[in-house]
Amino acid sequence: MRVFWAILWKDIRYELRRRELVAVMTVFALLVVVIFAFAIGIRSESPASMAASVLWVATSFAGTLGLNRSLALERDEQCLKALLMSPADRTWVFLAKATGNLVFLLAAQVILTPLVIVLFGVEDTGHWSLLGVTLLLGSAGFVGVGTLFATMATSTRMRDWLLPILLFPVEVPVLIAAVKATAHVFSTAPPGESTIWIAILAAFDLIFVSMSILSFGFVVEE
Amino acid sequence: MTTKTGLSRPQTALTILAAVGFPISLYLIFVVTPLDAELGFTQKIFYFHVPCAWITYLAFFIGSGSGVAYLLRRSRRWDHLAHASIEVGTVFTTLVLVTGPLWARPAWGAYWVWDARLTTTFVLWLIEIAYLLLREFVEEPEKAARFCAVLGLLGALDVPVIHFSVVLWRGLHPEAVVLSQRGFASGLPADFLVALVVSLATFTVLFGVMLSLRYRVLRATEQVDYLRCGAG
Repeated sequence: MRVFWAILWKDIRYELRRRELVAVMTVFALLVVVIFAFAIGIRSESPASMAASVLWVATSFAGTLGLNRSLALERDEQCLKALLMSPADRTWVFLAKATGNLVFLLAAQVILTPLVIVLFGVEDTGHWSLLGVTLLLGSAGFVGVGTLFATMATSTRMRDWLLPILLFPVEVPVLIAAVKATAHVFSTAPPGESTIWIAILAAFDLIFVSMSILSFGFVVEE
Repeated sequence: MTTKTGLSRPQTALTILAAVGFPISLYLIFVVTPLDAELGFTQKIFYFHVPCAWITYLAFFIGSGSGVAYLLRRSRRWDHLAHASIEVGTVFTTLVLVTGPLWARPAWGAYWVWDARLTTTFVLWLIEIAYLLLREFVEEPEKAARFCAVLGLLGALDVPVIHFSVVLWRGLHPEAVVLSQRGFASGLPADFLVALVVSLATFTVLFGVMLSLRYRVLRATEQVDYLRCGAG
């Protein structure tokens, strides 16, 4: 457990000093939003589902950048190898890296989501706590498998090119549930609709995150 | 560490069986079974489409199962079997994705429908491509084996989840799903069923031949690399 906090705090402190990961992810996500607005036009019949899709497409793309960067940092100076040589429990190493990535992705989303809401004219339905839970669960599902695959991808010849190819097909269920839940939260539908999707999303998270934790040991053994 | 030249006895038997099976299936499909009342000649593609779909899932589960066996046993043989199975399986998945739309266009009026079965197969194909790319880009064979086994395991557990999520995704939409036309096993005339079963068996034998050949090539390649490293 001390390992967990040590690694997490190291990642956060590094980011607070350099301020590059969240900044690049946010700017990139905003560019994706802008491209979407130009490509499909913002006057859609259902702004809620449109805004939800754009939000998660931008999150996925930006998240891939962030995951690659976060694991490349560990790889370049052989930090990951050093971490694994220490007697630290590998589950905590994985959870710390994944939590760090989650914090950065959520930080980007905190800036991104209000802008998407404003730009796509989503009505204020007041379900902001539900939105918060959806963002948290969706991002958790994404970085769970994402951290595992980024660890694999950064040690291949292709480095960071391979991550989206590995990650996106496997993430399909999380993405579907996250988009659906967000669309229901954004729309004027009764909150019951969105809580069903949030529950489904939570179930997918449970499957994916536990699978990633169990597989991490096989990925990093040397 | 040497491999015999030529085919082994079971391989020869399987090859002969496949060679005999294909003319018989073709005869059953094109001569014995009558034309489908509604769909006519286009329905014939199902005798190829359904076996390919079956092989797709069989191959993926053999591949991911062997991957798990590799993680537990660390025998190169399991890794070669996993690799061979996913590789041959990808060929059949591609065939499914090609033959499906060819039939769907006249039957449903669209090449593609985002239905659960189609979407799951498509995503599975993407996972298989990712698997083969991953294998290609990892230099150390042992590491490639571990990484691919992990991806195969996650992929195998993912397939039912993808299917479930797409059902929900489509299910909450009021749009009609055309697939109800596809009641295949129920009320199928005997001729059709015989042709389908023979075709299924033949394709499975063909898969067995391809799998065992690919497995042997992978093993031989590794032995050559090993010898070369030893000599150099």
